[in-house]
Amino acid sequence: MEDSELVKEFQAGSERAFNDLVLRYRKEIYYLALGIVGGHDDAEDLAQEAFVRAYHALPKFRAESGFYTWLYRITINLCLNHLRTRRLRSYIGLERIEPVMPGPDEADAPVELAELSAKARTAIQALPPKQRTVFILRHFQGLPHAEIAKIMDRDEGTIKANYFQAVRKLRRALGPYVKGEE
Amino acid sequence: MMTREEIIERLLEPFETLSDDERAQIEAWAQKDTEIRRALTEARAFSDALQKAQLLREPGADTWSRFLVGVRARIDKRTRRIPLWQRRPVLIPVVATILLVLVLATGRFGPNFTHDYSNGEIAEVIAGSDILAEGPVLTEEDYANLSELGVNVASVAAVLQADTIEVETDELAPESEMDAPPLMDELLALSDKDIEELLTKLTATRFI
Repeated sequence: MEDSELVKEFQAGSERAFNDLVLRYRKEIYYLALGIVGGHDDAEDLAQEAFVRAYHALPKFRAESGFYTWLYRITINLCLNHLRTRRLRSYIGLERIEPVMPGPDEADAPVELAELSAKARTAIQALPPKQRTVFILRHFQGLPHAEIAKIMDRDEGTIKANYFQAVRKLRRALGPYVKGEE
Repeated sequence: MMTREEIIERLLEPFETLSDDERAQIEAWAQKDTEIRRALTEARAFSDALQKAQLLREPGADTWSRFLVGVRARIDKRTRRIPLWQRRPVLIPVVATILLVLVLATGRFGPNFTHDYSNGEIAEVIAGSDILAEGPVLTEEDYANLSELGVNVASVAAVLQADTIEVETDELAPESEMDAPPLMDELLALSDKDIEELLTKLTATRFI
């Protein structure tokens, strides 16, 4: 069943239709949140929160964009707000920000792989939040630039520029691995 | 056929997204062009490195099984709400406080309201929005933090007329001074419907 049909069913009172939407998109939304904020607990919390916000806003959803575009937008806004709050808390000493995106199980991973993973995590976390978001959407979620532009309400040229900047920074940060010298 | 510039740009995209035809064209170019050869090697190595790094690892098995239950539990908790008329005495000061910070500025009102805020102000607004979303409870500390922010006050009506509220977060705002008209009176005069509308807009505020 199409998203739009499920949305209509939910708007007509079917709670089951909403459950179907959650089951359909939970993984994409979780991985999107994980990519942006890093850390399983935060990602799970924000992903669940995105669906709760969607639940309350869906009765007024006018389908001017696709459901998943709209849901991605909610998630990204939540994640960026979360990062800002975290940054402030860190600034005033309430919280330490650490690169928390999980890598391979450290104990099991070969040293080189663990190093690569740590470097990649740190480099992605160091990207400005919007660049990081565009990079996650393009590289890990495989969305085309035009779709990302719709989700982030920006023109496609800006999205491409953000993505290319992110890639260049990451390639620089991963230097030896990318050039095949290690 | 792709041009040289198109190839260089294409090689910044995820390597796996290259079609067979694109790959063939690029490999042909790489035979005679060292810069393209280098870009091709780098693109392939970059994708391989990110894949090996396993950055978006599968979470524990119970994450998916408990996900829907978690969402439903939150929805149930939030929908057990007290009637608006009972919340109103508490909501009014909360809305007023958030408006002071977020909406009522020196600013530009129109179909889209945008104003530049500093990071500190934004963080406080977010704190206010979260409190609003979770339930209308502000601590004394919250009030103290919010009241430290200097803002100029315009009108509630302008907010109600705006289609969306956007807050530009990239640039620091200049210092502004507190100059509040009788905001509480204005809010108290609003109908329940307008209060609901205001809450919807505040909780839907986009931080850009």
